[in-house]
Amino acid sequence: MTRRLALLIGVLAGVSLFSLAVGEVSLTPSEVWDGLLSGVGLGFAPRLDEAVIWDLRLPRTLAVVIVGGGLASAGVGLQGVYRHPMAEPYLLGISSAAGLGVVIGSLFTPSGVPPVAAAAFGALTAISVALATHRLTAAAGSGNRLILLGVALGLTFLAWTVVIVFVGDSPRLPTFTYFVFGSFGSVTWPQLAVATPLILAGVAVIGARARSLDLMALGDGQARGLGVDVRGTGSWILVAAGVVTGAGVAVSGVIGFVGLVAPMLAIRVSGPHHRRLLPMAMAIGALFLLISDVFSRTVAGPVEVPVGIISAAIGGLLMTALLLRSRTA
Amino acid sequence: MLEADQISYRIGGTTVVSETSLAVEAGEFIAIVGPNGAGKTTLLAMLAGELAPTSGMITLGSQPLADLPLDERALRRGYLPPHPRIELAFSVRDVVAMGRHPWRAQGTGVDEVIGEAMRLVGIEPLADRVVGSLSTGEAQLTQIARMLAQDTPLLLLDEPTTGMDLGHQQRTLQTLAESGRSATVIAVIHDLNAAASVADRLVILSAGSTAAIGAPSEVLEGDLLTDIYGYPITVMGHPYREGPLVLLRDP
Repeated sequence: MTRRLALLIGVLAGVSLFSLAVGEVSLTPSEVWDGLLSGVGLGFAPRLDEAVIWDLRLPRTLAVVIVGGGLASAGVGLQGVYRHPMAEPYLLGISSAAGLGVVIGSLFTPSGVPPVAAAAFGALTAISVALATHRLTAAAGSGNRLILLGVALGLTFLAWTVVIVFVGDSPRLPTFTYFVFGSFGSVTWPQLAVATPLILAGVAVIGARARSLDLMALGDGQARGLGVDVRGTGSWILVAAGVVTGAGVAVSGVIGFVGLVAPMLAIRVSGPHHRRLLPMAMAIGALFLLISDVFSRTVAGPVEVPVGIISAAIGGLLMTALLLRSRTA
Repeated sequence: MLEADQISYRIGGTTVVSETSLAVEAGEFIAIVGPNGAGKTTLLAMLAGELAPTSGMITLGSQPLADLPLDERALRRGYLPPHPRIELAFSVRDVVAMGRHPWRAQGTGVDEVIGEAMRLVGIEPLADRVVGSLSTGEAQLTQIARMLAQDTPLLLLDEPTTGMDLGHQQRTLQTLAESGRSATVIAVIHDLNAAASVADRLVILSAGSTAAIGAPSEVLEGDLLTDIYGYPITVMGHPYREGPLVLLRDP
């Protein structure tokens, strides 16, 4: 298990280096290496190589890894709380809520929305919607109502986001494709500096409750019987998932499938214990999104295909294959 | 050790359990019986602290149950809700080990306790099986072992033998009754003969109220049961042991 995780992280590091090399300007491994070193004052690389790596591809690659891992962790947390394999930020409408929040936030900021405000607007709307949905469906005791409500709200938020983007028709609003399909094309260091601590904090909150999530698989009654504060755990995880999703959406827009497919794959490798499931799902989520992002830059280069389209194309097939192979969800 | 004083549970306009009182002595085995919808599950959930009574008061030891924090409760009573379902692919051993969660601070001798709990209900051969692959009865035995591993002085179980064959049902109830020498057991049981064979006292519920509380030989009585269950029932002396035998008559 630890070996598999280490292997996966190794692959992730390899693909990350590859991600630094490919794109409109393609670099050789040694050019990547020189460019990386020259950025921290060691050695020398052509100005262009260094700029491509340090200004564009490094923040972008790091953002993909952090957002991918973050969305996967949110999926693991939400699936644990709701004991439902479809509970994840996108299908629960949390991602789209964050998207709407970011767009509304940018309406109030005349000179383009600053990263902190975007993340705050995204996270706050995401948390509100997560908590409200939880409250509205908790009594029903069935995940189906939750998912139905999440899908309904998600589509509504997405629609309003698009309406605002079209009506606003302003250069300071992010583009339609960015919101609906996601993109890492415009990631900056300041954005990353805001999103990274938020996402790591959310992951830490979810990770600290790994044991409680295990026990909650027995059902709320038994978990409480064993001393788990089921309601408190649920609230913390919803808030953490909201922060992670909001911070991620502020960087890259709404991206589906990662929160769904990464935990689904990970549980087959790591088993159901959340202490092992969480890091495995995060590594898979990061790798999955990174591969999607590399394809998004290369498949029709120099034109970028939105990363959400690629992640859906790969993720959809992957999930179909998984479902056909096993009879359970 | 556990005392319920005039507890009721009302929801909407319906009274599910009405002003029920019960004083349970340490080491007793109490079976809650009665027809469907009589309020057995609600009563047990209230006694477990899972459901707060809308009126009345429950004390565990000398403290009000409502005042005990969750982790403190987990050291003092185990609770098996009805129809438990485990959603993830945990093994039988994993689930039994979860019973040790309240004791995690101690840490020592965990494997022995888990092994002993599995041995008591006879599921050691299933230890590495995924719970989802078990039959209903086997899954229920796993839950019982999880309860035993939790090692609390009070066990509350809702239909603990659901899905078990006759032999397993009786053996499981006896295991619980024997653990009852040190622990107190309160269980919702449908089978009146099984309940009478292991319980010190029966609580017979009907439409949310206690119709009778007492030793099986005192409270199991043909006319009362016929009336409560709406089906002709005879009670006679058990041919092979002390105590009553409940039989259905043809209508």
